[in-house]
Amino acid sequence: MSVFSEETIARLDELISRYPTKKAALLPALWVAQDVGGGVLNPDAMEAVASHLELPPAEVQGVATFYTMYNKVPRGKFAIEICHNVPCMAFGAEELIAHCEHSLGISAGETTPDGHITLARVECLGACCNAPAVQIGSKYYENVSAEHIDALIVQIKSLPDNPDHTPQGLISETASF
Amino acid sequence: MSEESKKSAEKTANTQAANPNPSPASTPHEAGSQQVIGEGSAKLGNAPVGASGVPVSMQSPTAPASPAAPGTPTSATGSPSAEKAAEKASETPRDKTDIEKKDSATSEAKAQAAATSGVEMFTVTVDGLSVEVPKGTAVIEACFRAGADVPYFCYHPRLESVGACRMCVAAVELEQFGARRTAIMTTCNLQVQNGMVVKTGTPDVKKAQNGILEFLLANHPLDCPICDRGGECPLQNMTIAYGPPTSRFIEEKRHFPKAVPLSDFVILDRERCIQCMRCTRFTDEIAGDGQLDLLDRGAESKIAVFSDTKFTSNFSGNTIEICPVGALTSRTYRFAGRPWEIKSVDSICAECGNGCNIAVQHRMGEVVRINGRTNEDINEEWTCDRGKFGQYYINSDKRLSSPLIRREGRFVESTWEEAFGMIADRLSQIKAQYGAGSIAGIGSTRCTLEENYLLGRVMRGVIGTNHLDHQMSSYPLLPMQTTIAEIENFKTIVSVGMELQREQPIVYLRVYKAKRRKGANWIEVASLDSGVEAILRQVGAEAVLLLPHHLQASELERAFAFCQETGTKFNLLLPDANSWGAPTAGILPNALPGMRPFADGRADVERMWGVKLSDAPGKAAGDIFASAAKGEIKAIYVMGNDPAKEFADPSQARRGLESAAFVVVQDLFLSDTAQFADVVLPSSSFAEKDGTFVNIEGREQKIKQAIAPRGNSRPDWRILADLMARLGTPVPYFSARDIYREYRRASGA
Ligand code: SF4
Ligand code: SF4
Ligand code: FES
Ligand code: FES
Repeated sequence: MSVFSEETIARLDELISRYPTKKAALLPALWVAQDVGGGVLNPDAMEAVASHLELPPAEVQGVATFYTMYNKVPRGKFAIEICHNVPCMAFGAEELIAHCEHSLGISAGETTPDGHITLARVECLGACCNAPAVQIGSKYYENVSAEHIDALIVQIKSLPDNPDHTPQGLISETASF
Repeated sequence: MSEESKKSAEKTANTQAANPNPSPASTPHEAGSQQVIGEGSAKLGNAPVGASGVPVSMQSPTAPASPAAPGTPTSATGSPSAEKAAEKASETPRDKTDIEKKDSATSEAKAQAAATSGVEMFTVTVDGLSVEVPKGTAVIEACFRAGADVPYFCYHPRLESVGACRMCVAAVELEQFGARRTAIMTTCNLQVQNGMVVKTGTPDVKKAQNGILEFLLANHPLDCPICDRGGECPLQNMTIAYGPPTSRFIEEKRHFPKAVPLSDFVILDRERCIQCMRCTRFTDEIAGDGQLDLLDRGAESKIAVFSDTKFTSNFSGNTIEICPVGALTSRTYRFAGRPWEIKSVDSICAECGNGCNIAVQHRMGEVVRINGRTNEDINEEWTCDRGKFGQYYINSDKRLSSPLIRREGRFVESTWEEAFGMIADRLSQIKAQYGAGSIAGIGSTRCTLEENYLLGRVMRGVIGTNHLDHQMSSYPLLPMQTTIAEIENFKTIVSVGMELQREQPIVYLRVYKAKRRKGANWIEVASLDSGVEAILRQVGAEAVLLLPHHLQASELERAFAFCQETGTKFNLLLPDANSWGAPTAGILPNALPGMRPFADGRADVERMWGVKLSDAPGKAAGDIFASAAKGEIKAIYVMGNDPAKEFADPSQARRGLESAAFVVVQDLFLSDTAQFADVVLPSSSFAEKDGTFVNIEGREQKIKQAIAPRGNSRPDWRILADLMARLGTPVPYFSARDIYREYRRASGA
């Protein structure tokens, strides 16, 4: 009764085979589930992963909701992810977020009505040395100023789709692990 | 040290000498607060409040005082906490007191014993006192052994430590990377090292404790006045003992919807949660269903059931008891009273045969809450939800409140006098006309041992009939071959044809413990035919077979024979609170008290009861109903049982009850069987009487009266004793205890 196709289950099984325990395959299994779910991880998919890895569904949901990289709600074609942790905050991340909210007309965590751009707050991107840091798809932008982000917004508005997609979408488990 | 505090120091030392196992409950901060009461079970603040505020641990000899994780042998060289205070003041080593010297001698002996058995012992100095503990002990436990005072929220001796709350800080000097250094560290998730030095009360530690509490309270709503935990809340107690006088936070607190029901029994208030993860660890490690988990992260972290489904675990109520704040509270106890208004009575659960030790807590004559009590041999400190939430029928308005007599087809309320008069007249008349063999008695696996014994005496000794039974379906009475606790030591556990979680909850917890902690293999099969024999043939004596009573008797006997052959332990698990008490009381067609055959027990019983017992063979329940349907049995006396509903073939029971000329039923409610009765007598629930239950292992345990009998109801034993007097055999039974003593003698003990 799984929500997964046989092909997906084969992908999961292959992942499981790489680890000493089924539980250890949880993170990549969630990537796969998000991938086949069209970039979204809904409760049905979490439950299916749970039953496949023999874990309590609550534990899977706990893990999925811990990481901002798993999308519990659908995202736009582009996601502007702005780090709001301490170093970035000290270098104006909050102002940057407010600026984007203003110019996109949405709040952080929301998607523009045309489904094109999602604005998100994320935890430390590991680029604190060049705070504030922003990630769009698999690209990092550092020392980001308001002008800089405005230019980026104009640029991605003109693109029909994200050429390098979200990082997790790119990750075909066979290529990247 | 002032003169006075010296005195109190001596006093402490003396009490502790009497109790060589000082529990964390005897540490000073707890002694002054509610949360203590009780036990080493670390069920913070939820321990039962004894009558008149006396700590229950002093009332109940069953509550063990050891704070250490179960199975962890620990020893102390000395512990007077008042001495510790003196130590803190000077911070220099000092001579040991006599008591400490004696203790250290014992602990040396223990250490040697441990060394010979291969357990390495480490010496740790806590606040100037050295204690020896086995390698692998958590520092917090070593501190408890030394009588030191370490506050905690997330630590629980039965759960794995996660270091989630940071409350248990102490200044720990240890060997690290080749150097000795001192650091403020959490002690619950740090193992002792040999020669470690721990200080629990330095200014740095105090500052850290202050800080942790300030953080924990930053988002806490502090709605104590409307919180069911208020008054027995570890967060309140710790704040008083260790908290900062004021908070520097002026920001708006985090908000969540209040009072979210997780199930029919448990309510969650996420604003109060301190993310200690006791509840999530409980569902994962103890109950094994992992239904609760922490979702989201950082300040948004919240406890939840998967995707807002229901918290269906049969053990959900335990999370309420171990939650150190008022985040998880009970729906049945919601706003039912403040903890200090509640009286608590130690008793035994009446719902199943496991025999959990419970505290029946009542306020103004109403049972408001049932909590678990520690008994390491049975339920450790847990209960199932049936035990915690399934016994509120006690307070039901539908309870019978006075005797009912059937007149012209309808029940009419009567006095006890009238009812007894009628029963005595009718039974005497039937006996005179048709002989004693036309009267039969049905006992109950839910009434006490004493009550069943007395029913046996009324039937056999006063009326003179042997038609007596208690089983609603026939199963062999084969005793368990292990105790509940021993189950956890088997390598293979095979359970057949039952949902263990619901049918035998506490046995299930042991089985899960064996599987989780000791790597046992738990095999659940639907029936004995599913390859059980092949499995047992392989594992033999390393296995235990768990069987429900509702299998065919022939199958059970087959399994029994097979187990004898392979050396597998055979455990037949009976269903009700007193499934063993009814037969041992002698409620069997052909056995006397103590389950003695007539040949054995006859002389004793005849001498004690002063009568000659009938020689006619007794009939079992099925035959009783069949004979009644044929008109041979005229009167049936049913105590606390409901054959019209629960007999293996209910229609057969109904036919018998219908045909019998005279039926008496003692029950709490107007049961299906009571519908056939001519006289219905209202009896009292387990919370309203004293007595003995015999659990699945054959262990006798006492239930104690918590509240007065509802309405005009009376305990079953009282009813039977009164009836005996009306039938011409008055015996002055004043208490269930009197009957118990008589039972012991009658059973040849
Ligand atoms: S609900 Fe209670 S037990 Fe669970 S994490 Fe929160 S405070 Fe701890
Ligand atoms: S396991 Fe049995 S004895 Fe224990 S609480 Fe549940 S019903 Fe009561
Ligand atoms: S805090 Fe923003 S990248 Fe680390
Ligand atoms: S008790 Fe040690 S961190 Fe919570």
